[in-house]
Amino acid sequence: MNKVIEVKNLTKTYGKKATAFTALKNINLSINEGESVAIVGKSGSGKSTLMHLLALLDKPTKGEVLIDGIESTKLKSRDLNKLRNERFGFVFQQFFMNAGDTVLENVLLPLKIAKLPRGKRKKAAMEALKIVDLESKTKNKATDLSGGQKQRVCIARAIVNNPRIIFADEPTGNLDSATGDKITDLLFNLNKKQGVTLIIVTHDEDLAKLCNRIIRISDGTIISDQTVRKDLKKTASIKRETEAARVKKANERK
Amino acid sequence: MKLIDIIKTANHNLFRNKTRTILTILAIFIGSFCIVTTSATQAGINSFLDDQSAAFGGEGLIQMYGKKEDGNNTSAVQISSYTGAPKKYTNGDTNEMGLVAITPDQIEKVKDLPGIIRGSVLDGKFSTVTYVESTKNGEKFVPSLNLMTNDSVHFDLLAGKMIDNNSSENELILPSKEWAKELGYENEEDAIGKTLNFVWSDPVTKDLVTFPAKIVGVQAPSVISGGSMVINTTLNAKLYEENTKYLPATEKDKVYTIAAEYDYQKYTVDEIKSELDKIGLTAVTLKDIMGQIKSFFDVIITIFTVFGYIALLAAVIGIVNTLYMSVQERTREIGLMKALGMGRGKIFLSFAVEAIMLGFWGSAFGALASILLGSAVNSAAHTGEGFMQNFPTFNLVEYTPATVIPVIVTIMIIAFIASVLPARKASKKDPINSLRYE
Repeated sequence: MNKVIEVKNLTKTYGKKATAFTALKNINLSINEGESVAIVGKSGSGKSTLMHLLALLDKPTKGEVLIDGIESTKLKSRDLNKLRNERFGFVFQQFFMNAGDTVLENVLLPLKIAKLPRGKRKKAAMEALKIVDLESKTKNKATDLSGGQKQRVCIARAIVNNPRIIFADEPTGNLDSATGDKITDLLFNLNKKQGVTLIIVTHDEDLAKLCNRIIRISDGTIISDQTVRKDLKKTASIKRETEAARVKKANERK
Repeated sequence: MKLIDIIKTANHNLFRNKTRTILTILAIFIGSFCIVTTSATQAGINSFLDDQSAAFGGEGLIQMYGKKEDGNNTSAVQISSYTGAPKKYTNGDTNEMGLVAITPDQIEKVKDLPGIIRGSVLDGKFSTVTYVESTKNGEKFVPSLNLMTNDSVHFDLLAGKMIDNNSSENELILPSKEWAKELGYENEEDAIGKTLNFVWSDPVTKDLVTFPAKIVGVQAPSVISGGSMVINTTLNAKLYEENTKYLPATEKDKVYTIAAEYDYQKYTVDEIKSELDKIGLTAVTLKDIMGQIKSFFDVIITIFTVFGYIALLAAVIGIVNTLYMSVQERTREIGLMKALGMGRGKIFLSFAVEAIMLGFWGSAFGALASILLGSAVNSAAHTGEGFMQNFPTFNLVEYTPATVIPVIVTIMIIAFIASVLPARKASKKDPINSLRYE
């Protein structure tokens, strides 16, 4: 299998000398194309730092991060930006949308940065919005949307450039369970149908269990790395059925 | 990001916080307004002076007078508060200017000077007249007479045409439209072609000698020719002959002023002046006269310019402040843009463009307001009792793309410079910390 991400002896230290704090210690890891990976750990465990390093948002103190075999630390910042822009998609817990802009404007932002012509970027944005089922809201202001709709816009923004990898940082953290499930569904569908590699940072065990690989982090080191062969078709939809069944049972008991 | 997208986004971002943006634009507006108004006033005055200076002749023209013993020379060209109205004749008035005679020897020396163009030397045997009398209402006035010494001289005319020095007829140009009225004509057009009598009172016989002359033109108000009546050389020669009738031959040939052209491309005014000084002549050039007039207007212009730059300085601080606040508010947005692959240069540019847009809107509106107000003042000044009604050919403020566009561009450049620090701050932000910013 193709290694999309390979990490060698990764160390990240914040601060200097006396106040130095090592967030990640000597991490070795490789992620194959099409995997869905959950990075799980308590807050302060280093899971977010690891994601930032994998997503090339931060530079390691020591070690290497290879994206499709390309040594990222050797890239110029221009090429690094291009790599992120073309191959990565980001979904954040706090959404990060430009509130005053329309849904469409928000979705096509990565393509604007990539200097795509106006017509092409609008077409791509419309397609992405169709996938998240928000075609009807393209002209709405981002602030006028509900939380679930906002996160769907963010997913549309993450997939608008046809990325190889989607990084999701607590994607359901700000959502109630029903809307959270819908977001999870969307993400795993992309992983399954389009072969997009999915890397989810979470402390939510239920969400982590939907992934085929769970990496647990504590105090800056990987404490477990399990790959589970799952029938990916079930995942979120199964979870929702069981949830629905549970509610049904609860109602019957009354 | 493409430049056009950066510009559009910057413009869009500006109006997210409307009040703040409008206040910043207002500060730039005031600065721009002052500066545009100043440069328009300067342009107005310059074009006025150019018109007026044509009455003095070309650039190389120099006028020479005999040097007085006490060295206290008064220029023959006086800048007086202009009224335009003629002075009434009362018995005993003279038209003496108190000038020192120039000897034929001095004239020969001037002709031999290397800087003076040979053949350009014109000895001004200026005539004088006791009074002029209207053939319409019989009113008598004292004019100061002026000669058109050189063909490059051009008077700004309200009506009629220039005098012809080669004509056998006596011709004159009236100093102003007020003269036309005082002489009994309805307006300046009405006076054209009419006859004005030049009267010389013979000092010995007390006889009155009359020379009828044709009014061919009426001058627009002029601060340089000082409201003097221009006569052609034909009339001048006749008057001069009469003026000097009783003088001995040596005195007859005395002249008080000579005009010449010098080679201004090879010699400086000062070189020519020092050469003339050795011969015993003082000289006045176009630049000397312009200098006197300009220094008067410079005071007004300086005050306006200082106001403009003070306002602009305040505006620059406003721009810096606005942008710093904008960078602070949009920290997370900057983080997102960086995460999505926007480079530092483009982040810098997007904030710099925002400042440039602030500069553009402020200066463009300021210029527009100045143009509107300026045109209103121009037309108000020229109508009815307006303070400029004596100068119909003079626009107080004059707007051309050449005066307005450089101001707008300069302010945009200043705005860009003001944006450097905040834009750098934005471009240096770390994407992760920015995204975590609350």
